Amino acid sequence: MGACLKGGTGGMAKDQMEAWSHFLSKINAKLTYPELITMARSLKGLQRDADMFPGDAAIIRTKIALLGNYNLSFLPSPLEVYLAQHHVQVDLFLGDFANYKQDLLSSDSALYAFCPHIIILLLDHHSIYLWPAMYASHAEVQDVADRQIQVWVALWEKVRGECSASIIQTNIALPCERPLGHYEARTEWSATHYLRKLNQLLAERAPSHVHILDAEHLSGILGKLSWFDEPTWYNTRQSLGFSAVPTLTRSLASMIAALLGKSRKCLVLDLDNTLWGGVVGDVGVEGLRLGKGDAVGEAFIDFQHYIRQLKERGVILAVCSKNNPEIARAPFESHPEMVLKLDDFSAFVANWDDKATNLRRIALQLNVGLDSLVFMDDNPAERALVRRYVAAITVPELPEDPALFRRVLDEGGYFEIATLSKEDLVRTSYYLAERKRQEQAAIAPDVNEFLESLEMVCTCGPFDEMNLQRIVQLINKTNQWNLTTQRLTEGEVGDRMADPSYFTLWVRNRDCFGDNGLIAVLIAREQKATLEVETWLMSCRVINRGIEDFIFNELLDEARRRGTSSVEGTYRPTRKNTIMRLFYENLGFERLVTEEDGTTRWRLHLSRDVCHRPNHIARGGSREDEGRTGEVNSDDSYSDT
Amino acid sequence: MIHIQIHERLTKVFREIFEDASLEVKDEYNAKDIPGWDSLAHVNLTIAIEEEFGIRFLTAEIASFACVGDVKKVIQERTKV
Repeated sequence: MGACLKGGTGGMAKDQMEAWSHFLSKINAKLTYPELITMARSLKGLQRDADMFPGDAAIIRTKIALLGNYNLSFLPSPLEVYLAQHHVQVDLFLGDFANYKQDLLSSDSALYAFCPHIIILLLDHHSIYLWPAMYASHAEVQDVADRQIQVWVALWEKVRGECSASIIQTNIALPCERPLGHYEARTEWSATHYLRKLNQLLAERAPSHVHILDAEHLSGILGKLSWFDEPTWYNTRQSLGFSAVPTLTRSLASMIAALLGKSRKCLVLDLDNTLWGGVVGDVGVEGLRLGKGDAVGEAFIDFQHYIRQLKERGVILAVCSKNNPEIARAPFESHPEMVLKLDDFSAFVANWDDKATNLRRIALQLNVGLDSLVFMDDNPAERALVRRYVAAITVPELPEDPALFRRVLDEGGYFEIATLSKEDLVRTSYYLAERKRQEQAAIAPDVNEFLESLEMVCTCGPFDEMNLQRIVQLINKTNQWNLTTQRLTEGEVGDRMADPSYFTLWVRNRDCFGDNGLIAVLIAREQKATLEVETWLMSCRVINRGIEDFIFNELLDEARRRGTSSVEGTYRPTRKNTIMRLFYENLGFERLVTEEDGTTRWRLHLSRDVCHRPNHIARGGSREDEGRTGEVNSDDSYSDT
Repeated sequence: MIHIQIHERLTKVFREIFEDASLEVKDEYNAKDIPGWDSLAHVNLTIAIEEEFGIRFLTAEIASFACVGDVKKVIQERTKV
């Protein structure tokens, strides 16, 4: 094993780290409710002993309110276990299930005093009190449904007015019982038909701060006969059976993680017996089991199709294989039924080093954290090695039968998203363009000539509705080039957008290899004759191109427009942003104070000799048509209705 | 199942739920006798017992349990061969 096998343990004692990775390796979809209760207990112990997760994964703390119309008191412990898998720790507010509407509708409720970051609203069919009468006409059913939706709209608007929390609301799982039998499917006033309509309307009417957890889908996946459990309902007022609690809380955890920007970003795949059947080095391209006419070969084809769908919606793909590189590439180049092509992969590592080392390389190369990786390998020994040496990486347990790979990957919910923006759809093309940039950098005589040759153009503007989702996404997932790592909900960003004491700025960048999209965000607040930078971050795909100098110039111009005498900034260290430590110093700021946790505060007096910093970037677009330049538009948020 | 087996397996479940490795469970015990036996622990206990013995209590049985001995009786009834 190579020396670099062991990565940073973040100063954590070895036995603690082993306890953590043992704990994390036990979390899976098959856990029962009693097992989860036991695990919640060990989690409390682990959290007492160490306030961090092993490896390079930083912990996120957040405040979550759990509300609903049924007894929710059995959900927090399982939820905490599944959240640990996403490196999230929560303070929970548990609502009284008889009072969820009062909690939401009264401004002075304990709920709003708690200031939740996310409000979870779990509803089942018992919460619906407006039902169509028998033989109601189409118009009458529509009217009842509209009034029911209005009840929800009122709740959503109240939350929006009271705080900046995001909401996760379940749709309604259709119950098992159907008094009209199959005839319900074609009877508009029946419960089946009506609840389907409500779910459809919920999807259409939910505003962007409301995220839908598809309980109807989950109940089907698990089986409604298990999802609903009448004895449990009568005994405890929890309509879910206890065998449904793991299913629900696991999905909930994935959605919460997605809202917090903790979803995984990159799927790393082994090749032999993971993407195709057989070992290509032994049987050759012709001998592989891959393609139509063979049951196993078809399973691999469908698995590849699913992976390509993930890639098309923005999941980065990488290969990590023990192989000679030319042998590993051969099936991609010459097997007629391969679905995935070499160009689908943003990193391709085939060599004989151990996989823990290679996975670290891939993370470095793609500039993503180790906790952003999901690694799939059919070989249990490789999985165990990676889990042991790089605990931050997610390594799903794979069944022996490749026909089940697709399901395991899907059920994991690793790549759950809160919104889908056009940035996600073209992300993988950025990585391809980046590979070409690196090739150009290799032939350019010096950095300046390289930057000049990129023909960079930046456009920028104040936060607006059109760019809001991408801005919120960047704020919540950027870890490295981020001075304060301040996370904000869409509501909190909206507050800043509307407040004139704030200066907000988004920046887009494109160059001769393509459009990089919206890549930087700055939020500053004017107070007491200074302009204080609260958030300044940049996507890691454009580091070291002088874009920070371009942004500094914008900041300087704004400070002069406002007539402040200085600009101030803060560097708050995390485990991932050490590259930013001396950022303000390099810009000529003076250090005001260093706090106990390493946070430093900086000030730049705007004397006459403070001037623009040189860079190789042209300022593009008029203020009016910013956001519409380039091929990456942002008028595209599919979840925004 | 013989009484002693039921007692041992039940004790194991109680020890796990109440996090007390030396907990001794007596037939006349009820929620007042074991610290931490609140309504949440009660449901967790019921489910863990169902899991341990592979049985499902009836709605009416759960409502009627007054002490540990009552639970044992039902388990014995259900696990008869």
